[in-house]
Amino acid sequence: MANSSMSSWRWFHQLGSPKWFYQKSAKWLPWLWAITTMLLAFGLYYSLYASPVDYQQGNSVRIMYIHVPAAALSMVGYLSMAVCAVIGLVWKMKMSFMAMRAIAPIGALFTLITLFTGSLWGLPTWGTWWEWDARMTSELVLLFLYLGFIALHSSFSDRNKADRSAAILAIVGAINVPIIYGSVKWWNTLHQAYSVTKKGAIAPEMQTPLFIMIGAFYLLFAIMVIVRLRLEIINREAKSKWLQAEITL
Amino acid sequence: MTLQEFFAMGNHGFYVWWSYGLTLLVIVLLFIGFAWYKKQLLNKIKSFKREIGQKARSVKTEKISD
Amino acid sequence: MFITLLKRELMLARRNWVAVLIPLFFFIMVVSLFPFAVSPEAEFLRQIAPGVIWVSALLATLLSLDFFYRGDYQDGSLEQLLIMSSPTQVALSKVVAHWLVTGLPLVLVSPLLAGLMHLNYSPDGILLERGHTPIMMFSLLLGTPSLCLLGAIGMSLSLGASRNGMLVAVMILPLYVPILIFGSAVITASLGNSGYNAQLAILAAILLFALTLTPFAIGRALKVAVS
Repeated sequence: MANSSMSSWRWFHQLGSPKWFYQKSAKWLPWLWAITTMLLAFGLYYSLYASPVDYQQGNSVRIMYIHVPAAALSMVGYLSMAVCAVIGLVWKMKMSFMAMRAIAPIGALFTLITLFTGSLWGLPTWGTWWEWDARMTSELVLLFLYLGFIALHSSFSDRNKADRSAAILAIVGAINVPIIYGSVKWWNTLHQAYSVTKKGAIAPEMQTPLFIMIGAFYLLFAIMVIVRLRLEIINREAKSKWLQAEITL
Repeated sequence: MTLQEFFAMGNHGFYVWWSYGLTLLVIVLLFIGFAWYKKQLLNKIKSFKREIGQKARSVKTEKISD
Repeated sequence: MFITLLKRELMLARRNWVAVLIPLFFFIMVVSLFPFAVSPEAEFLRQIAPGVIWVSALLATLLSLDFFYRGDYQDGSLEQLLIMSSPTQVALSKVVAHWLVTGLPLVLVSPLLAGLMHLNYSPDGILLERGHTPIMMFSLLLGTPSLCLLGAIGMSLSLGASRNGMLVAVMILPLYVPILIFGSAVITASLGNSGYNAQLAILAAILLFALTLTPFAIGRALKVAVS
């Protein structure tokens, strides 16, 4: 009984070892790149060429195929940061804090992509590149949350303190994200003097490119996090023997 | 559909291509940033190793001079 | 224990009563800058009043945090306090003291600002019998404690950091968005003679939510700061 429960948790302990992760992830990355490239090729073919034009938005609907996945990942990124923060604080796992640190800039990047693709979609659709639309505004606040996290984490000379403080901020922020979204949505309906074209339900032919692109973006996000996490491991384990043996200078 | 029509995207080409292009650009910039950071880290480790090597050598020479 | 801690905080504040008054001056001054920047026209001021008063209250709260945390951290008494009692109690005593010393005076002085912003006149310039001042004060009364609680998280997180001041603002301002929205919405609704009970209820809900959860986060952050 005890034996089986131990073996089922082994992956968790292995993930907690920087050495194990550094060696294994080098083998994962080529495969991940291959699958991502394939998905992206399919996804781009569908989203730029083989999908129908929206009768209202015209060809600018094609922007949705990168805007929606980026928006999904900007939120998933913050949530996974908070999950890493909880694991790091409760089980005192240093790999978890490293992952949290690695996710932050990448999540911020996806938030940025969401914002400018949203603006470029809004330009022909709304006639203005910025509208105080509930979702756009929430994304902007999310970007501020990411920036606050990065600013806090980089303001400490003691890395241990930086990790734990930033982890608390990540958890507080994650609890606040739905509250912020809800209040911005309420505020938006109050001020809706202008006419906004709703991003309505999706036609089935548009679902194919959207789902492929969401998958591709998830994998791309995973690759970015793994690459950044490997750099974080190099940074923090610079003085350990196994790493110096691993790196041929 | 001609190639020209494909690029024009029915007057929305500007917006579509800019959003795809900028997305590609920031992703490429991120990976360039990673590469640059890696170079920095490796330089740090290199100088760190050299320091240790020098210390070890100086310890050895001290022993010989004794 | 909590009462003892609270008494200590209030005594420190009484000794430094000028430092405690500064946020209040700040609050009044920021609001009185707006007529210069935009227009002294009564109708216009009334329209921007809810936002201006709330943003100023928010900044005053944020800038006054330093006094309650920085000194104790630097002279080491924070560490002593955390050994003596639970972090949650220390956190709560600091937040309550902060609110009593800056939040509550802010609420009490706000009628003056309502006067400056012509909040009590009808659109055609007649002094209202039942003005909007009480409802504005009530919204501030429900909102400022939440501002103190959330601000305290940012302040205690930044204690051990090498840079501060701006850092607290950058971390906490995004979290203030819901309070700002509903706080100023209460006054706007009152000005437009529409119902504001729902907005007040949400402000109260935010306060209760913050009151139950943030003391743990603040306590934890204080512990990290002194570790």
